[in-house]
This record gives sequence, structure tokens and C-alpha cells, in this order.
Amino acid sequence: MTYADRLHPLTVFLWYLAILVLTMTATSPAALLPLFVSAVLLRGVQIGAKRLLAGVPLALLLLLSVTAINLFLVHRGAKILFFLNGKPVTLEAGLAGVSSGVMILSVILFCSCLARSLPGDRLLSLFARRLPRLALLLRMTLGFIPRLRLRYREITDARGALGLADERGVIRKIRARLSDLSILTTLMLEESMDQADGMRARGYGLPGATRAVTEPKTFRDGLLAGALVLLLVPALYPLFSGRGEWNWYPLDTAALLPDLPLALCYAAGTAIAVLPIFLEGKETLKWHILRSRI
Amino acid sequence: MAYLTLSDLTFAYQGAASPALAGCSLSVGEGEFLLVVGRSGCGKTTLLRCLKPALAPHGVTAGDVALGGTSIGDLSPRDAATLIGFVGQDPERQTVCDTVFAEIAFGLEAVGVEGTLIPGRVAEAADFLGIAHLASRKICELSGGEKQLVNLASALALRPRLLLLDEPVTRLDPPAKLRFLSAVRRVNEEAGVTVILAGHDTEELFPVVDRVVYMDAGRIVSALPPRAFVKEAAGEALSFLPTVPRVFRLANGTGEPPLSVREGRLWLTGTLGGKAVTEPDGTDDATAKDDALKTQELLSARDVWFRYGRNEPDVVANLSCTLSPGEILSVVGPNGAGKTTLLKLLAGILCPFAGTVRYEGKRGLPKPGRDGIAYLPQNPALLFARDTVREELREMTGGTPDGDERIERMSARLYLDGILDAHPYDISGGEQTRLALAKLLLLSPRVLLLDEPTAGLDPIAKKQLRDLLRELAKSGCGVVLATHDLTFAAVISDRVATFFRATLASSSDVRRFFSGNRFYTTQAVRLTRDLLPVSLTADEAVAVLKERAGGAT
Repeated sequence: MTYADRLHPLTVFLWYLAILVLTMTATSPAALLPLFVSAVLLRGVQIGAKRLLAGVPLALLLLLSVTAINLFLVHRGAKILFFLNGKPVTLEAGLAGVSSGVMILSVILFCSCLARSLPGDRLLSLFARRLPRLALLLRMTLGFIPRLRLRYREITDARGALGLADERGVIRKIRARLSDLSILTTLMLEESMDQADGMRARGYGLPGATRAVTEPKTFRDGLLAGALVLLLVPALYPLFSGRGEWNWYPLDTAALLPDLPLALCYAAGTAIAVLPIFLEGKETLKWHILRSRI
Repeated sequence: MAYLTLSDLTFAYQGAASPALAGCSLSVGEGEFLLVVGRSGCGKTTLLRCLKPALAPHGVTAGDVALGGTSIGDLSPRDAATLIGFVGQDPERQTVCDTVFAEIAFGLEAVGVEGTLIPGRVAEAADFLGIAHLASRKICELSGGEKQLVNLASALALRPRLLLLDEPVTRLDPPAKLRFLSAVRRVNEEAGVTVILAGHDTEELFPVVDRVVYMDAGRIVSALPPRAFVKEAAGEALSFLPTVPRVFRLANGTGEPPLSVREGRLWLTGTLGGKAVTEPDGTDDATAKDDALKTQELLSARDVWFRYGRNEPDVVANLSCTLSPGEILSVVGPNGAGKTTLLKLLAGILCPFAGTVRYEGKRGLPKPGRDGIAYLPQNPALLFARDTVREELREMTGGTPDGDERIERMSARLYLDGILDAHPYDISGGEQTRLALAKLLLLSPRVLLLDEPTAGLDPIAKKQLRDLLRELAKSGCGVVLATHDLTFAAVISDRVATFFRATLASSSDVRRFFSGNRFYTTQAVRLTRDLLPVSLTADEAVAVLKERAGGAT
């Protein structure tokens, strides 16, 4: 049970949507860095330091490759580090690469946080009302995939045991696999007929279908939605006013520190990302305290 | 006052030579519980489907079906969906959604129940059937029995007044079967829902139902209360009698026919007039036979361990077993215990994590193919890749010169000669099992591994399978059956083993196994225990009774 579980999925979804938009549009280091730190902290609160650290090598690899790609493909910038094949390799290109890498990492981290805060079925229930057909399709697919994999396994096992799969030669092997796939298709078609019966038997396709209301909105949702709107206005200001525009080529070190109004806007954006850390962290802490008292 | 009335209902599938239903007339009172029996393909499923407009098969219909005085054709689609609930045979195939809650809510949403009321309706249905704790589980993680209860709950959530159940428990193991059937009984008794159930599970249902409808070749031959059905049954209908009434009929019992084991024992006590025998039966013989069989070894497993993932529990742990030539070994136990895994280990499909599987005394298994080990999966359709039965058989003979001749012989032996040009998906379940067996037998296997071969077979198809397996065993083929059909295990096996806690908990001669068990045994044993020399099957009990009657006169 996390804090997000007690909120309406729409609140959680909108909150993360705001964070993702802010992260993806953050170009200046002053805006991006606090968001990245929040992403790391939030994920850490969710899954613990140990599992977070386990992901470091992969993150470093991603960061390095994005930096390297930018470094060797973009040749703009004033501070030339060295020449490669007669082309300049610049400090700015390297920094811009690191910045993009950090942005991508932050987005990945926030997305995994979202997936944890809003598991598949809750996310789906969000769309069910607006897009009932799509939601049903998704639900059916989610139910279908494990069955499909199981059936394929059963088919290859059963035919393999008859010696029908162990054919020598590439062509024969391909033919054996195609046979397996053809059985799978026929079986699944047969099963879909039964499934369609199951749907029709329960009145699927009648006009006036409804959706189950399983998650009522609460006062807490209203409070958080209000806070989100209040914070979003300043947080989005740099994006829409053009003031937050950042250019790495050439690097203007004086602009790295924003002026006060811009800093306040970034602070609002950071606050949106920090609040979930606070709420989830408080939850974890509460459990620890409760447990120590028991 | 009849609630459901069938007047001269006739139905023919498009292009079929003979009608699937011919002049069926029946009137069912509100709250009645009907059991429909008959051979596979006799029209049971067609009859049930004709009662539910959304599922009515395509074809030519004549006659009328009325529900509560209204012809079902005139019911609004919404009423037809809510008033008539339907649960089919395969628990896997009817589910639509990924979670239990969504599945039960599916029908309520479709018929337009107000969104805020749905959770309550789902909870009501789930609670009534005792599956409320499953509500947030994923469907794919449930057992077959649980899935079928979810299917029943989805039908019940719509508050039907008529519930149609088409062989709902054929794929379930005995405990799950009992759980499902007692749930159906509660629906009938406590909620007054009219129930029509088609199936071969007569042992559990005869004592419960109001009437037994016997169908043959699309006709309703009789629709009688169970005791009357027992008295009147003749010819083929006799094979649909459960063990206790069957013994009563075949032993020419007099008076009211018993339906349950309790009634059967009372009747037996009365008939025997206090001359009950309590001597244990043939245990010493059994031991001797056991030892004789052990001398030869065709296939064996020694201290085998297996699990599907490193961090998953052991599915097979420290298991040892042997199979001799010509021996039939039945492995019984609940679904999901690991019976299928054991068969796959013996077939070489899975590789033991520790321990060895030996074939003819040597480590390792022969390559799949001729003269080796053949494995029949629970769903025989997994093996079918061609368009006709003949092509299916040809797939096994390849281009060998005597191939066609062997196919002819095999199809005659397995009664497939009439359907050689049919599509493998268009034949009945029993025929599918025989076709899959024919494919296996064309490889002349020395060991046959069969996974639930009797699921969905009618009593007559079971008898054919029994004769075939006996014949194979006589020719030296070793057979391992994984089954939860105890009656079948009792008639066919030389040895029986229980799969429990990832290993074979007990393995003994069939007679010792079933006579030693009090509950996990056949109805015939429960009927005759302490009254007659223990009989494993109805026929055996009848023979004993006749012998005594002969001896007495």
C-alpha cells in the first residue's frame, strides 16, 4: 500500500504527466538537475537504495552512449577539445550530450515510478470510461498473451515428443515451426469463438453499456489537483514565455545560474517532483515507526 | 406452472443431413434442477444453446421455446442476457478480462448496470460462491476450478432465473468438481434458480437433481426423476447410471433404487440380511503380483527433482518410480499437483534438475520418434496441424511405402474409418482423443504417457479407450496415465500412485490402493466396504452379488 494507492488514478496520472512534461521540456541544467535528483530520490524511496544501485551500471552505459553519440556527431561549439578525422570535438557537444542523457534517464525513472504508482489495471480503469473499446481490447490482450505463450509451449512440447519438431535441416525446421504456428492460430481461433460466446452470453454489444465505478474521488484528490494547478502555472511559465530557452552552443557560463524569477519558476517545477517523494517517503517512515511500536 | 417450455423443438445445422435436435418437447418448472445425459454428439450442447438466443447455433430451427410464457425469440436482448446464464465446458476459454473483478463486472457493464452499483453486485456474486478473496487476482494465475467458479459468478452477477451449464466440470479434478457442483446446488436451492446441467458427472448429481433428461440422437428419450430413470433405463442408457444405481439395476435389486452411497449401503445391508463379510480381499495375491512386475524395468525415474525456475518451488521432489513392460500405472492427484510435469519428465520434454530417468535400464531417454516413448497431451488438438484426419495420420507415417496400409489398419482399430476425411476440429472429443492416440500408435511406442485421456469422454468412449489400452498393455506396451478419474483408474490400472507434495506419496497395486483408501476411492469401494469382498467397480460388485445369490439358492 503506497500513498498513490489511496488516490484516484486520474490524480496520480495527471501529476506524473506534469512531471514528465516538465522533464522533457527542461533544457537548462538549472531546471533539469533538480528534476533528475528528484527522480532518483523518488525511485529510491519506492524500491530502496539497494535495487536503485543495481541499476547504476545500465544508467551509466546509457549516459555514456548518449554523450558519446552527441560528442562525435555534433561539431558545433567554441571550446574545441581535439580534432578527430579533421572534425572538431567540442566541450559544448559533450555537455549537451550529458544533459540529454540525464534528461532521458530522468524520464525513464519517472516512467518506472509511474508504473509502480499506477499499475496496469489502475491505469486502464482511467481510460475505460473515455475509451471503453480500447480499454476492453487492452484487457483482453492482457488476458490473452499469457494464454498464447502457454499454448505455444504446450504445442512445441507435445509435437516435440512425437519427434515432429526435431527435424534436421533448416527448411524442415522452418516447416516444423510453421506447423506449430498454424496449430497455435487454429487453436486460438477456436478459443476466441468460445470467448466470443462468453461475451455475447453476458450481453456484450448491447447499447448503453456502463463502467464499474471502483475508485471514487476524495477530498485528498481535490487538494492535490488544486496544488498541481497552482504549481503548474509558474512551472510552465518559462516554457511558454520562451525565457527558459537554453542553448549549449556556445556555452554561456553566466546563464547557468538563473535570475530570481526564473529560479522561482524552476522551484515550482521541482516542487511538483518533490511532493511525491515526500508523500511516499512519509508513508515508508510511518510504517517503520508503526512497526517499531508494535 | 412451467417456467421453461420446449414445444417440438427441431434444429438442423446448415448442410447437415440429419437434424441435431428432433422434436424435443420438455416443460421445466421454476426452480427445477435438470441433468441432461447422453452420448457425446447426441445434441446436449445444441439443446442448451438453443435455449439462449445469443448463443443459438446457425441453422434451421422449428418449434418454440418459451420462458415464463414469452417465446425466447421475443425477449429483449437485455432480458435474454440477464435472465439466462450460461457456463460452458472449458474454464480457460470463456474468460474475457485479465482480473477476476473485471471479469465478473463484464456482464454487468455490458447490460448497463449503473457504475456505482457494480462493485456491490460483483461482491455479492463472488461472496456467495466463496471466491471474494480472489477478486483482485489475475485470471491467468487461477486454477481451473477457480476459473470455472469465476465464470459461474459472472453469470450469477446478472441475476439469472435460468442457468445453463454445459459440461461445466469435465476439466476439473474431484475436489474442484465437488466445490463447483455444490455451488450450483446452492444457487438452485437457496436462490431458486432453475438449473439445466448437461454432463457425464452422474455420480455426484443423481442424488441432487429433480429430473434426468436422457437424450439420444437429437431426441429427448425420457425426462424422469432419478429413481424412475434408474428403474426404466435399458440398453445404452444403463451405461449412464452412476455406480450405486448401476449395481442395484444389474443385480436386479427390488424396491426404491438407491442413489447415494449411503442409500446404497442401506439397500445392500438389507439384501444381504446380516451376512456381511469383512474379510480383507486378496492382499497377498496383490503383493505377489507386485513383486513379479518389479523384476523387469522399462522406464524408471530415480530421485528426480524438478522446478520451473530457480526461485520457484519444487514441482517434483525426490521422486522415484518404475514402469514394467505391459504395466498400466495411474498417477492420481489434484490438478496442478505436478502430474503433467511428471509425464513431461518421463517423456524427455523436461529435463530433471537432479536425478536420472532411465529407459530399458540405461541412463537417458530415447530420441523422440519410432519405438520409443509417446506422450499424449491433455488437449489432443495440440497435435493437429492438417486439414483431414487422414492427413494427420499421414504426417506420422511420412512417405513410407506401407504407410497407407498402416493407416487403414490403425483407423479400423481405433474406429476412425468413418471420419477419415473430416477436419480434426469437427470431430467429437472422444474421436479427437482416438485420433491423437492413433498418431502416437503409428510410432509403435513401447511406452505411452497419457495426460487426462478421459476428460470429456462419455461412458461408452471411455469403455472403448479402456479396451484399447488393455490390448496395448497385453502386447507389452507400458502405460502411464495421469488422471483424476478414479473409476477409470480402478478399471484400467495395474498400479496406482498418488501425487502429493511434489512426489508419489503412495504407490501400490490397484486393489490394495483403492480398498485401502476410505475417501479417495471409487464409489463401488465405498458401497461395498465391510459388506462384500471389496469391489473396485460396479461390474465387479454385481458379479459378487450374483455369485452370492447363486450360492444361496
